[in-house]
This record gives sequence, C-alpha cells and structure tokens, in this order.
Amino acid sequence: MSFFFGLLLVGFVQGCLYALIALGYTLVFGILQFINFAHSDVVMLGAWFAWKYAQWMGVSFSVISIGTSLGILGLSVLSCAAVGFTIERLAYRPLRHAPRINILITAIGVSLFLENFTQLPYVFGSRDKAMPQLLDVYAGFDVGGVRVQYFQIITVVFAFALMALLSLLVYRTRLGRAMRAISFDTRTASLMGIPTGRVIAYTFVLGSALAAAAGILTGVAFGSLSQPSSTSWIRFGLKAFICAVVGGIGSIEGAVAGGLLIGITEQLAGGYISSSYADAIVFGVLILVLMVRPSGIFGVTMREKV
Amino acid sequence: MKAARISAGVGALLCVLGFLLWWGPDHVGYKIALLGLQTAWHASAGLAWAGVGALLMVFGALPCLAGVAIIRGLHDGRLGRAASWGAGLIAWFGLFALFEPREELGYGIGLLLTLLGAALAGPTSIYVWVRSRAARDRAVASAKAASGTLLVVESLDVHYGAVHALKGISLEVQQGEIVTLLGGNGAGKTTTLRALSGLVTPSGGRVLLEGREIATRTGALPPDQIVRLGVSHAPEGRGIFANLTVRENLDLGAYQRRDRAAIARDLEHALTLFPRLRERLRQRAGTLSGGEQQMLAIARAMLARPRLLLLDEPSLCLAPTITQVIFQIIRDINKEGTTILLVEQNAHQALKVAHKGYVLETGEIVMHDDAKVLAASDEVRKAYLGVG
Amino acid sequence: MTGTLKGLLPIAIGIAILFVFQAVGGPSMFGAYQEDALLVIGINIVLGLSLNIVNGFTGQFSIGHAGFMALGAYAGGAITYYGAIKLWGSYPPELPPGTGDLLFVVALVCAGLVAAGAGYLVGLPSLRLRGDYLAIVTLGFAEIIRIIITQTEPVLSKQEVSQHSTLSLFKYLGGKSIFDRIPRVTNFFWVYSVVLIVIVVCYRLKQSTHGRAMLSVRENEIAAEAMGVHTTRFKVRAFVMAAFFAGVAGGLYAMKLGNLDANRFDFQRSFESIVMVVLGGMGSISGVCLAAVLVTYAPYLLRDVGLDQYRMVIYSLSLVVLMVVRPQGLFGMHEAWTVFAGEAGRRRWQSFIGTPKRWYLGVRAYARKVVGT
Repeated sequence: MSFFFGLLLVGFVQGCLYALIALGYTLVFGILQFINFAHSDVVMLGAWFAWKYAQWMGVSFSVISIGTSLGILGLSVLSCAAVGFTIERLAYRPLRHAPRINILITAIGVSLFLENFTQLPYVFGSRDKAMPQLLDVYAGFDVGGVRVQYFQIITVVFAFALMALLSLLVYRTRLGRAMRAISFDTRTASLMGIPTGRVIAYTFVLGSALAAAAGILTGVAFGSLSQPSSTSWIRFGLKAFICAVVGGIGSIEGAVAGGLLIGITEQLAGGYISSSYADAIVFGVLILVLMVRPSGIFGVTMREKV
Repeated sequence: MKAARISAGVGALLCVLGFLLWWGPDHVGYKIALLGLQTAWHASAGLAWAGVGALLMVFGALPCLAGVAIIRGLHDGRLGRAASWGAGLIAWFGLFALFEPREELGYGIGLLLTLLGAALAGPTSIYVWVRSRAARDRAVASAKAASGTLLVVESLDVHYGAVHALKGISLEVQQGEIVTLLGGNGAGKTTTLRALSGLVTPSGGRVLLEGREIATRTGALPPDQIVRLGVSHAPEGRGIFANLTVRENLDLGAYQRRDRAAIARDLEHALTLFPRLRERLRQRAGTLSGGEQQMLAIARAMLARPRLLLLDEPSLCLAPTITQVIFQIIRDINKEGTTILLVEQNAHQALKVAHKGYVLETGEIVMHDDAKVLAASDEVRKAYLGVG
Repeated sequence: MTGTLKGLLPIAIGIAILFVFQAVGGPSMFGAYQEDALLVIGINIVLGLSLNIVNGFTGQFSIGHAGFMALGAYAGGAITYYGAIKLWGSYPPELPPGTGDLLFVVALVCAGLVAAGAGYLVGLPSLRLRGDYLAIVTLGFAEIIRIIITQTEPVLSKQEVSQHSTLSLFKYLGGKSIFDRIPRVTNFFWVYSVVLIVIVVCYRLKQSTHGRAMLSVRENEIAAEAMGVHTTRFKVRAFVMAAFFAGVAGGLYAMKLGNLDANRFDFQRSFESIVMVVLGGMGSISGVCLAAVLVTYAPYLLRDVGLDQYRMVIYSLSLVVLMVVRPQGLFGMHEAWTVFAGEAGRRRWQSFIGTPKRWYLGVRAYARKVVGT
C-alpha cells in the first residue's frame, strides 16, 4: 500500500508541475486558439536560465541560502517572461489574422529556433549539465512508509499558490475581465477600448513566467538538465499540453485537473504496468477522453461557425 | 524630404548588413553572405546542367529571379527595368568574384559598408525625425483651430480584398446631433462604422475627429485608442460577451476609465435608463433576451462616456414595442449631450429621431439632407419607407 | 479506359526513362554525396505529397505523419531482412540477381498497406474530432506507434531466425537499439519511380471528383455536407491514402539507410512534413515538391559552407520569416506553371516577388505590427 501512496505522491507533485505548464497553453489557446508549441521551450529556458544565473553568481552544487535561490528563481522567471513577450511581438503578432496553420508553423519555427540557438556553444552549450541544488531535494520525513520530501511539499504549495493567484487575476481583476472578453470575441473587445495587443502580450508573459517556474522546479527535482534541444523537453511540454486538452483547453480548472490526472496516471502506469509504456498510456488516456468528451473534462463545446 | 528618408533607410540597411558581415559570433554574418554566394554558384552551375539544373536553380533564387525579370522586361519593352535587373545580376556575380578569394577582404568591405551606412543614416534620420514631428504638430494645431464639427469623413474608400465596399463617401457630424445612415443590405453602412472605430483600415480618404486624423490610407488608430478619444461603437449583432455576467459586460464598457466614482454614477444612471438590466446584473449575458442584449450593448457603449456614439442597427430583430423603447432611449441619451451616428434599416423610426440623414447605396452616398426633408422626399419614401 | 491510360502513360514513360538512366549508371554521375541528397529529396517529396492529401486537399490537420512513416519503415525493413533470410536462407548480398528487387517491391507495397491500415484507424476519430483536437490525436497515435516499436526485442541474426516462426519475427524489430543490416536496395530508379507515381496520382486526384470532394471538405465542411459530400468517408479515405504513401516512403527510407532508429520518427519529423506542405502551399503539388527539395537540400548546402552548427537556427528563422512574409506558401494553392503563365500568371508572379516598394511596405507593416500596441 505504501508503494501505491508513494506513487500517488510523486504523481501529485508531477501533476502540479504539469498543471503550471498547462496553464500557459490554456491561456494562449483560450485567447488566440492556437497551440503554442514554443511553450515547452520556455520551460526549458526557465531551467537553463536558472543554471546560467547560478553560474554567474558562483553558486556551487551544495545547498545554498534561500535568498540566493529565490533570487535565481525570480531572475529566471523574469527572463522567461521577457522571452515570452518577445516571441509574441516578433513572431505571433504579425500573423494575428493569418490562418491558424501558419501560426502553428511559426510556433514550431520559434520552438526550433529557441532550442537550437540556445545550444550554441556561447549560449548554453549542447551538453547535459548538472542543475545546482537550489533546495535540498533529499531532506524529508516518513509517513507510514511513504517518503515525503520537503521539496515536494514546497513544490505543491508553490504551484497551488501560483494557480490561485492566476485564477484570482483572471476572475477578479480588470485585466482578467479583458482576457476573458478577448477570448470570447477579440474584435468586440477592442471596441470596448481594451488594448487587445497589450492584453495578449500580458497573457504570454504570465504563461511564460509560470512555465519558467515549472521548469526550474523540474530541473531541481531531477538534479540535471538535458541539453536545450533534447526531445525530453518537448515531450515534457507535450505532456503538459495533453493535460490542458484532457482538462478542457481554455479552462483554468481544467488545466489543473488535467495536470493532476495525467501526472498520477503516468506514475501509476509506470509503477504497476511498465515505465516504458507510461507515455503510451498517457496518450491513450488523451485519445480516450477526446473520444468520449471531445472538448475535455471541463471544456465547453466550441461554437461551430458556419 | 523623400530623398532624406530614402537615404536614412539605405544607410540603416547598409549599417546592419555591414555589421553582420564583419562582426558576429563565429563570423556568422560572413558565412551567411558566403552561403548566398554558394547558392548563386549552385544556380549558375545548374544552368549549365540542363536536366538537373531545373532543380538547382531554385537555390540561386536571386540571380534566377533577376534573369526572368530581365526577359520579362525585354518582352514588355520596359528596357529600363530589364537594365536595372541586369545591373543587379552583374553586381551579384561581381560580389561573388570579390568575396570568393579572401576572407579578410569580406570583413574589410563589411566594415567599410558599416561606416558608410552609419555616416549616411545617422544625420539624415535625425533630420527626417525632426521634420516629421514638426509637420505633425503643425497639422494638429491648424486642424484644431479650423474644426467646428465633431466628425468629418472625407471621400473614404474601403476595400475588402477585391471588393470595393465604400466608394469615396463623405459625411459630417456636428456636435450634439443625431445623424442617421440609411440604406439597404450591403450598402456599406456597417463598413462605414467599422472604418470610424478602427476595425478596418480605409484604402483612401480620411476620418477626422475634432480635426485630428484617426484613420487614413496609411493606417488607422487601433480601436482602443479611438475609444479613448471618445468614440464608442455598439456593433451590429450586439457583440455581447455571453460568457461574462451582465455586470462584467458593463464594467468592460468603462475599461478605459479610471475614475471609479464617476463610473459608479454612470452605471447607476445606465441602470435607471434600463431597469431590466438591474434585475439581471449577476446573470450571464448569454442568457438575456434579444431586447435585453441590445439594451446591454447600448448601456455598455454609454459607459465609455463617449462624445460620439456609433449605433449599428439597434432595432435589428426586436419586437416593435421594444424598438419603441430603444428609440426613446436614444433620444434621451442625445438630449444629455451625446452625439449619435445611427445606422438603421428601420428608416421610419430613424428619421423620426434624427436631425440629419445620409442615404447609402452600394458604397456611395446618393442623398443627404435634414431628416424631415428626407422623410418627405419621394425616393426615400418609396425605397425605404414602403410608401407610395 | 482512355482516362486510365491518360494516367498510366506518363508513369510508364517516366519509369522507362528512369530505368534506362539507372541502367547506364546515370545517377553515379552526381557523385556519391549528391546522389545521397537526391535520394533523400525523393523520399521527402513522397512524404510531403502524401501529407498534402490530408492537410492540403482535405484540410484535416494531421501532425503525426512520422508514425505512418515509421510503420512503413519497420514493416518494409523487416520484410526484406527477414524475408530474404527465410526465403533464400541467405543474407542479401548472396541473393540471386533480380530476386532482391522483387522482394523489395513486395516489401514496399506491404509497408504501404500496414501504414494504410493504421491510417484507417487514425482516420476514424475524425468522425468526431475537428481541427486542433484531431491534430493532437494524430500526434498521440504517432507517439504510441513509436513507443510500441521501442518496446520490441533486438534484431535476430541469420542463425537465430530459423528458430522462430515467420509471424513471431515481427517481435524482433530492434526496440531501443538500432534495427540494422537491412539490405540497402533503394536506389535512384526506385525512389524516383515512386515519386513519379505519387505525383501522377496526386495530380489526377486533384482533378477528379474525389479530389474536388476533398477540397470542398477543406473549404467548408458544413457546406460540403449540405451538398451531399460524405465528409467522414472522404476524410478517412484521405487518411488511408496519405498513410499508404507515407508507408512507402518509410520503406524506401529504411532500405536507403540500412538501419532504423525509432527515435528518428518522433514529432520533429512529422513537423518537417507539415513544413513542406505549408511552405509549398496547401494543396499545390508542385509547391510541395519544391518545398521538399528546399527543406531537404538546405542542410546539405549549409554543411558545405561550414555553417553546420547554425543549420537548425537558420532553418527555423527562415521558417518564421517565410510564414510572416508569405503565409500562403510558395505558390498558394496554385501550381507552379499557372503562377508563371498567362495574364493571370503575370499578376500572380508580381505578387510572388513583389516590387521594391512592396517589400518596403511589407517591412514597414511588419515593423508597425511589432511596435504598435
């Protein structure tokens, strides 16, 4: 039984990370109706920026002070927010009225660019690196045979705090109201005096910041970083995207629910069936959910425009 | 002035090109240039290889394009064009010859280009900037001095792709008026409003709000800035955000405003004008009836506290009794000092409330006069009032 | 009858020419390096054109094309490798002349059929799913296929094969390691014969009522349905055809390379095929061919110049730039020859290269969009 609960715990933590990334996908999809393939690269950048800043600050691999950790985290989140903003401005905005497949190709182009540019020798390099331990990953305690790490608790608390903040922002503030208005009808929203371009840029900034946070937490949890163009990053982002779709893309609750569902499913499948089939099972879950409920668990059926 | 602009542009371009050529991590710029030359080389080799050449030509895009342009130019008798392309082609291969033998030469030329470009672009762009600023300031000042009217539309053209939707329409709206635009389906009424609120960019003519250009052929202000200048548009088909509550819809109307107290007052006022909305504040807007949605759309547009309110078919699909109410409210709003541009198919009602009317037919204004005169004229009576 | 002839004649003539070309040793005049590039280009043309049937003609958004290719590659590879051992008990180099090619053709057809079966399975969800959701499902299918392949057992050697029944051999496809020792039978003749067939099939399809029905599904599904087009049937058909040709391309690829690694068939490869279709112009056959050539040959060129390191950076950047500059792809939905011919062609040609003023206006419009609020 403790094996089961152990898997559940790991899956839950993993699910929180997925949810953080899925929120970025969901926000962008809700507003612009396209899959931002470059989002997984922002996750990667988050982790790698943290690595770079740690290098600059001369952080070694032993445990460091909370202040430095938070500083690195903040810097890296800010950098990723800036990257998200830049991507939106340079690549997506000029295509605002283009067919969606074009925007999708552009997103793929941006994704490839970020991966391959950042692994040039004078950026991050093309080798896997060890991630500095911003937190002590191994400290923890036992509950009924299940090992609980402080790091996991911090991850979960942090993720939920961010998600709560985001839903406050979307449902309670003027900016959030503008976002929801734009996701319903951009043109009418602009007639209300909403600067649609700026609000969309904010959306990208928010999504990228969340993704960066998730990237850093993942990097710290694994203790190492795959090279920027490694497919493991894309696959990670892709799974987060699946979470968003399973939960119902465009819906914040859906992203969280989907993230937890997929995270836990993946761990249980890996533990009880086979770790190599875990990915296939995740995709299977996705296909099943879509066949039964084409718009996801929390999704509203899209209006069909004739 | 134009020469200065061009010189600034060319200089900037040279700067960038040169910079890329001589600088760049790992000499990327130089390598990219080399790539272009390699491409050209492949292309010319391809020309020799008749069969496989067809495939390879693609990589020498530039010389090949030039070649076709030359032939076309010769064929059409446009010799100057052909000659200029030819010169470009020769220059292209000349560059090739220049670059190929030694790397250092490429860097040298790049550096030279950069300096030359900087020398050219720097002073001229400053000159252009200063001149254009001064010109704009003068234009705004003189326009402000001249304007007595709120809105002026001067020979406005709008194209949707190949479709010429508005063919040079001109109209004026004075402060405090209700002006109505009449016309059948596809006459261009909605397009006019869209051009006024920045949703479409005109292909000719201009729109002036109190003497300030808000839309010209070269570009229109984005809709949100036009709202800030005091133009509020209640779009056709109401444009209600069905996923938001009525209250949130109303709040969005006041998105640009920061004065909370005044917004609260205006909201209260709007709710006294439309008591039906007060009962439904917490309801999702999608659940409202058609008439209520129209009321919400007007109330929302009012909350922006516009000086000019654009109403697109407020009586569309409404029951006659509700239409009456809506038109009464339009009159009330106008009495409080808001200028209104009203697009309507219901010419009878529209001419009753309006001071002035324009009649649009397939993108042109065919008639304009005082509303009373229009209501009495035979053509309007026949075509739009169903009388006679 | 004449209709069929009209389709078969160019294929027959083309194949005859190719055969003579191959027989006199024509391809070797390109040199090994260029010949290799030409083979890859041919395979990618087949891949791009097959995806064009789904994405370009029918407008269904499939981003899992690599899955079909992987199926074809492994099926084709397994059939030639194990088939040669089972049938002749020998390893390909010792084959009696001619038989290898026969087996090769059978393997290609089987590769296509296996992939087509999978295409049918993937096409079925399109009964319910639209747009992006369908795209995600295709991506999921491709990933599942790839993962399943990585779970197979390592390849058997010649001695071990005899201890296993024919059907059970399909469990031994290399898995996480590489499926190597596949006979390298693919040559210029085979690749370009397939290219020729695919081009003719696509062209004829585009002209036929079937093709028109597919195009109508792309333009407006609801209107197509209202006009009596059985939309789901055509969508599934498009998937099956596309998968078949992708499978054939996979087979060619497997027997060109001689070894297979499941990780080469991940979504990056799917994206590559989509890029060809969008770059060439959705539904334009010549455009897709041209784009396939460009996309495939560009890396070779960049390697020549010593920009190997920047290959992907330049590739991705030019992708973004092209999408911004020319969103409809090289030729839009037209064919190359209509772009250059006649009065209408002249107008299109002008819109194709534009004028310096148009370039300037374009750059300015872009800058305004980037800088404006």
